Amino acid sequence: MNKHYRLQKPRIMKRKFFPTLFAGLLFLSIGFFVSSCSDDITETAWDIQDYEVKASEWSWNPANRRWEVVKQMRYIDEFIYESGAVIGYVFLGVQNQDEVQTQLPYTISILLDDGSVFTETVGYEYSSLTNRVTFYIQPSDGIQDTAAKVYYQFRLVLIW
Amino acid sequence: MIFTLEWKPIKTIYMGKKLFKTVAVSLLSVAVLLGGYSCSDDYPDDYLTEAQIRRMIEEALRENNEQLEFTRWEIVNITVEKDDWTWNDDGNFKRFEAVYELPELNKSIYEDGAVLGFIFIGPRDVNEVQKSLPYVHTYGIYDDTGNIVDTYTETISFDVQYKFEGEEKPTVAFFIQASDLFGSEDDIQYLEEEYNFRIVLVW
Repeated sequence: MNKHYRLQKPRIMKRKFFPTLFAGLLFLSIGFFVSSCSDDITETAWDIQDYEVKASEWSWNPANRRWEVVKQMRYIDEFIYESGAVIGYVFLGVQNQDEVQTQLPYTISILLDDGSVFTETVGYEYSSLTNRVTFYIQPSDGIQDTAAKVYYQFRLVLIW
Repeated sequence: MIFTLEWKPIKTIYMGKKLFKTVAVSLLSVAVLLGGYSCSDDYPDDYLTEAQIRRMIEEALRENNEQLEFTRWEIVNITVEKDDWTWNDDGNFKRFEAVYELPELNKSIYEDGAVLGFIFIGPRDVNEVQKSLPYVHTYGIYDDTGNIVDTYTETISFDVQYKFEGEEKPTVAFFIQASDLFGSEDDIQYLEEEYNFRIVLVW
């Protein structure tokens, strides 16, 4: 009989032990699953950079046949350059009167007194290696006309 | 034989007891459940429904959002019908224009946010694509034999205005301009029936 009970007892314990073990493992797996699925909340970062370019600052680049001005950027890095967005705007008109804001590149076709027409493109390009942004005014006819050198106010929006 | 005689009744009694216990426990459980269910309110005080938990989570997220100031978006879709375009013959412009109120644009977005413009080109669900503005496309001018004799470039663009003559009056304007500045009011007949634009405001 002793032998009989010795055999029974461990069997009962095993039955009780298994649900506990199973429940424990289930909770653990749920815990691991939930923690593995939850990402850390990453807030989107912004930087607004305003640039003023005076008429006298534009210099002619004979290789690209365009007027250029290079400005040091307040902030940019490789991550923004490769995984973020840099959006450029130019303000046109008089502030609080008829000012508008348009996205770069800004293109406008201009009629000259002699009846000819050309298109002017105002654009920008930037580099995270030099931390610089280049604004440019490019005429479609490639003619170096100083009348294009005017005051511009630009705005860069960096999002990452 | 002795062994069989001794064990058979014991086994039967044991199984009977076990079965009785199981049935009794089951019946008791069912009775407790039924009793509890019939006597209890739908949601007693110490019980949270799924909807209540969901509401609590939403409220917590809302509170967090207020503190964290997440980036926000607003999408404005604008369809410009053919008759909405007006020809601007003033000075160098010589372009079609369509101006709309944009109440979603405020000072904060104008100065510290981003406004992005897109145009849908092509029939929807057929070969429609979405292009970022300005949309620049060069067209050929053909002679009777089908040879290109000249080209011109059409630019579709937009701008936004927050104030006009000192008064807050947020608007968005769309433009169609040809590089040769060719055109007149009558050329409206050559425009598409409608142009579908999408403005994305991010702040």
